[in-house]
Amino acid sequence: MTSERAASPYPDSAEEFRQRVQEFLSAQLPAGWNGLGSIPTEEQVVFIDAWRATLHRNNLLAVSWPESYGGAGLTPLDQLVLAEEFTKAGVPQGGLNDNFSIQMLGSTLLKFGTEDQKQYYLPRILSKDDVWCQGFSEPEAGSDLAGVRTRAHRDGDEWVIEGQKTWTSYGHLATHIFVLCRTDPDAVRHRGLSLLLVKIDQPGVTLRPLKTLTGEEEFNEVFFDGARCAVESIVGEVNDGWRMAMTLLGFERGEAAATLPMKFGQDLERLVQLAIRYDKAGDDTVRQRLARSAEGVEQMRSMGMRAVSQWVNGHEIGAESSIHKLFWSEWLQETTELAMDIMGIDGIIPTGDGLQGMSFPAAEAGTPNTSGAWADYFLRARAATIYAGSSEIQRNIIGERILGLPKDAR
Amino acid sequence: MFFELDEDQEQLKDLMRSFLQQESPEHTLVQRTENSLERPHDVRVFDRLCAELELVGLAIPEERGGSGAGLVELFVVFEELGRVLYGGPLLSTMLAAELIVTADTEDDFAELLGQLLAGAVRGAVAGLEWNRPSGLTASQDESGHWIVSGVSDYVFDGTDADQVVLFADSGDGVRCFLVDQPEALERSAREQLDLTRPVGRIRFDAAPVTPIGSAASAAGVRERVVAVATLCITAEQVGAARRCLEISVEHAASRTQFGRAIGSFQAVKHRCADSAVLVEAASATGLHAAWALQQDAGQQDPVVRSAKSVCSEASVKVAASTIQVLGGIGYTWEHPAHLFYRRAITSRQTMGTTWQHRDDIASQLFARG
Ligand SMILES: Cc1cc2nc3c(=O)[nH]c(=O)nc-3n(C[C@H](O)[C@H](O)[C@H](O)COP(=O)(O)OP(=O)(O)OC[C@H]3O[C@@H](n4cnc5c(N)ncnc54)[C@H](O)[C@@H]3O)c2cc1C
Repeated sequence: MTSERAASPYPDSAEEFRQRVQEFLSAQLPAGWNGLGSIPTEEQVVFIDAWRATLHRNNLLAVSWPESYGGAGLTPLDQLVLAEEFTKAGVPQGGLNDNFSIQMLGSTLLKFGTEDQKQYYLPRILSKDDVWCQGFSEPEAGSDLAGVRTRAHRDGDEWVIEGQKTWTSYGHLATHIFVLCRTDPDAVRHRGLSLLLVKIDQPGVTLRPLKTLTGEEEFNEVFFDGARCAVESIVGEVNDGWRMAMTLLGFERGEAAATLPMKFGQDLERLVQLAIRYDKAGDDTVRQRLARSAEGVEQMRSMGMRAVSQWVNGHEIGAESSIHKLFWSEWLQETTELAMDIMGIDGIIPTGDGLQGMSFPAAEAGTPNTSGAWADYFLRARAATIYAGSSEIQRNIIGERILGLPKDAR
Repeated sequence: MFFELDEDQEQLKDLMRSFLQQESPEHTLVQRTENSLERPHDVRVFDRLCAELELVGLAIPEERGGSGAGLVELFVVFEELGRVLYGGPLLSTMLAAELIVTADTEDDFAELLGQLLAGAVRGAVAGLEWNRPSGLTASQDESGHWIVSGVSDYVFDGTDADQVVLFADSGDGVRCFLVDQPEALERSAREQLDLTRPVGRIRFDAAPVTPIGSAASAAGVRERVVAVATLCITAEQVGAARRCLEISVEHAASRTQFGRAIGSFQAVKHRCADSAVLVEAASATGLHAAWALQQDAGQQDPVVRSAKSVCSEASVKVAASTIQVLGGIGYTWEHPAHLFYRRAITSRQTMGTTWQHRDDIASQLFARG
């Protein structure tokens, strides 16, 4: 229940690094810092830019990357410790697209990229010369990613791309897009796919903003009409894109297991305050549901620690990440629904500052405890069981890959 | 770095698993519970658990005659016991020993402790319920001897334990006692929902007792014994839920309808997946509670409460789901699914109901806020 444990399950080396991160944070953050959520929305974007530059200057954007590619050469556990401390302090680990640029693409290139690709792309990601977004989903291929239709064919020493992607988050902020496309039209489904690295600012790429259910223009449609990239701009082998995509999606969930419970712990504290403000501390139903939410945080924390120790002991976190994803996305929906119930009729006229489009999984620390923030969070939570693999897909993965049940008819 | 079992703990788990598979196999469960008023356990199994595996003293310090292992090891053991719905007097004997070790710092009860650890004496603890008054009051008679009166309604193994220890309200707080003449107590077995573990009622009618430990430490002792008891129940719940999940999955993979394995239907597959999530989350939370309690007793209350409530929910839901996945077979007397369900509901109501724990968790949240 408490966010601090008396004993740390981490090795000393990680705790020493934690100390360093804490010192860095207290030196860099303004006095009385209360979390990104506590500054006005307009200033958040400015802050994030400046903060990202500070992180870059101090080599803290990708601490576990090798030094030769611009990283700090530390361990993945150090990376995790950093993520934890940043989460506690309510500061981001990078800019909005860095989840795509650093965590997803960067990690995939480190694993499968050629030496030239690593030398070229990785430092440019850190310096923000290149900003990435993810071009996987298509209007006709979401859950069924193996069904992508966007095609690429060879023309001399270039790939030429035709087709459409959609729901591309932060595409409007990106300079580049990694595109899963069909390079062998005759091969069945996932056997004929490749992962290409494509510049957005070129003839043949058109971005159109697409409003989300919250009313924001956060994701986009992307049209490819003869867009080009060099033949070398492929990750892995030709027609081996499925494996690349799966690796990349695996990195998408990497640290979440350990850091989300912390964020959710902060959300829970806000929710308790909200309940007090609405005089619901004596309401039996609210008490039971709040306790359930608190238990959820405890469960996520315990599962997160298990994942971390597996990771530290050298086991990859595989399909279990589906359990985490399913759990936290449902927790989020239940908990934000509880907030709406606590606010009662106030919830339908959201007032006060809200979140306004800064982060998907959880409200930032310091977010004002207003009906505006909770109503926004509540709506936003609807996406959590859809993106990064819908709940139904997670249940299929758990059933088939963890429990070994037979595949359903496909 | 904690949170995966280490090699020794894995070995302990394997040892327990193979021992119990042999000595207490699942397919005999139903037959063993035919008469719910008779003790559904095999005395020989209990003796071996005590004498060969030395389980009563597993988490008791070496200097007091135990093996000095931790609560994580205890969790591992009880998880395995839960898998087979073991219902013998191990838990109550162990809790009696735990009470004595914690309360009796002067070693006044060393002989009794030794007997409990050896399994030569089967113990029971009365007045032990989270969130409930003990129901027992203690007072001193003219000659200064302590006597206890009242009824303790839900005592694990209460009917035929050889020795009974208890918590009672002494007028200025709780105290720990040993019953002087356990054979003279009025004890009754009752028809009960769970057919695998007997819970008895004991009436104390000015029963002579001897205090264990000091008045000052008794509240702490109670807290500790309650926490350990809750943790063991929690571990059993995880083990039972895990076994239920396995039963469901085995069935879903092999039973065919409409020409396909039913596990290929998402309605069934997703049910199993939801159970897997419940089991994973419960097991992580329970084990974490064991670890946290061991690291820092001061933290015990919230983590153990959470774990109890979470594991209760998981075991009940997963057992219910197993009956559903098994269809008609799941509703037969011959299939052990109902025994898992009965145990799950019973354990959920024991050592603090989910409702009570959540109410207390809420109080803690508001007190902090
Ligand atoms: C906020 C947000 C941001 C996103 N950002 C990106 C991005 O940056 N880049 C990107 O490439 N994509 C992005 N996506 C797309 C996301 O990955 C897809 O929406 C998701 O994979 C689901 O695909 P779909 O929308 O086509 O729904 P569908 O696949 O059509 O699913 C519709 C419904 O059917 C269910 N369903 C589908 N298949 C099965 C099955 N086999 N069994 C049972 N049920 C099934 C689903 O669970 C769902 O409930 C984003 C989505 C959201 C909501």
